[in-house]
Amino acid sequence: MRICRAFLIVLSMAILGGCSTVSSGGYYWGDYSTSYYDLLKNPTSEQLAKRVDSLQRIVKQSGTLGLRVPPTIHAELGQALMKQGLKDQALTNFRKEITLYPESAVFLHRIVDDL
Amino acid sequence: MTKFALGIFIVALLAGCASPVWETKGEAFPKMYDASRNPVSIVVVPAVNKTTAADATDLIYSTLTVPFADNGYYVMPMSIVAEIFQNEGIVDGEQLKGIPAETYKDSFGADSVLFITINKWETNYLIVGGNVTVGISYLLVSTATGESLWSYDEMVVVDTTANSSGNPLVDIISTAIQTAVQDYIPIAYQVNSLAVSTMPYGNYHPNNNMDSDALVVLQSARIKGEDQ
Repeated sequence: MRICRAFLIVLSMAILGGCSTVSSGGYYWGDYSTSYYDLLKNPTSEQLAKRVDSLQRIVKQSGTLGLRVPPTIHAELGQALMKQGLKDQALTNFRKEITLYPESAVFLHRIVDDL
Repeated sequence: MTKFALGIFIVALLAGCASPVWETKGEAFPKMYDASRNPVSIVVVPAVNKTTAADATDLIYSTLTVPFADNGYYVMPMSIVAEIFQNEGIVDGEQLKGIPAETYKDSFGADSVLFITINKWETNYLIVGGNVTVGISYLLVSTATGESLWSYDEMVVVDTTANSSGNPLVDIISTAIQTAVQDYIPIAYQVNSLAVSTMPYGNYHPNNNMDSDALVVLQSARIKGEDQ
C-alpha cells in the first residue's frame, strides 16, 4: 500500500513534470522550492534577485495558464521586493495576496502597517 | 478435528503477523470534517530537529508550502514567518515547547499550527550501495481549541547506489559520490507529499469534504505523529 502510494506520487510527478506544469492542486509553482532553498543557503543580493525573478515568473505564468496565483507567492514576492528597497511594489504585492487569500489578512495587515 | 486444528493454527498465524491497520481519513481525522473546526490556514513553526543534519530544516521548509497548498490549505507565507521566528532568536521548535496553540491565532491569525519533528536524516554509504533515509513527524493543532486535528509520521528511503560499472572498487567510489551530491529537495518534497496524502482535502481543493472514505491512513503512523 505504502509502496503503491509512493509509486503513484512519483508517477504523477513524472507525468506533471513531463507534459504539463500544473500541480495536482491546480497551481503553477515554477521553481518555488529551489529558489527558496537557494536563498536560505546563500542570502546574497544576487540570490535575492533570482528569488524575485522566480516568483515573478510564477505570477506571470499563472496568468498565461489562466490559473489563480498560488498561495503565498504575492506575499513572499512582497517580502523579497521590500528587501530590495522597492517599497511600493512590495505593498502592491502584499495587497494582492490579501485580496486573493483573505486568510492572510490579519497577518499581512500587521506587516503592511509596520512598513 | 483436523479442520478445527487448522482453523486455530490460521487464527494464531494471523494474530502473530500483526498486519498494519489502515483507517479512512474520516475515521482517523474526524475533526477535519467538522465544519466548526476544520482549518483553512496553517502556520508552520520552526521544526524540532533531532538529527545532526543542520540542512534538514531548510530543506523541509522550502518544500512544505507546495504539497499543503496543493491539498487545499493556505500556508502562512513561510519565508516571512520563518524570518519573524529567526528575528526572535527561535531557530528550533524545542524553544516553543509549552506555548499554548492559541497563541498562534493571536500572532498570525492562523486557524491551525503545524509542528514538525525531524527524527531521521541519514546518509549511508555501504559497500554494496548507498541510501538516504528521512523520517519526519507532523502534528496539526487547532489554534481555537488546542485539539489535535491531523498527525502523521512518514519515512522515506532513497537508494543512491550508482549504476554498476563492473568494477567493484569504482562502484564504491561512485556510490559515495552519488550519495554526496544527491539533490535533497526532491527527497524532502517526497516526504512532505506522502504525509500530506493522508490529510483530508482543504477548502481550496475541489474534493474538499469528499474524501472521508479514502483508506490511506496507517494507524501506527497517525499515532506516532501525534506522540512526537
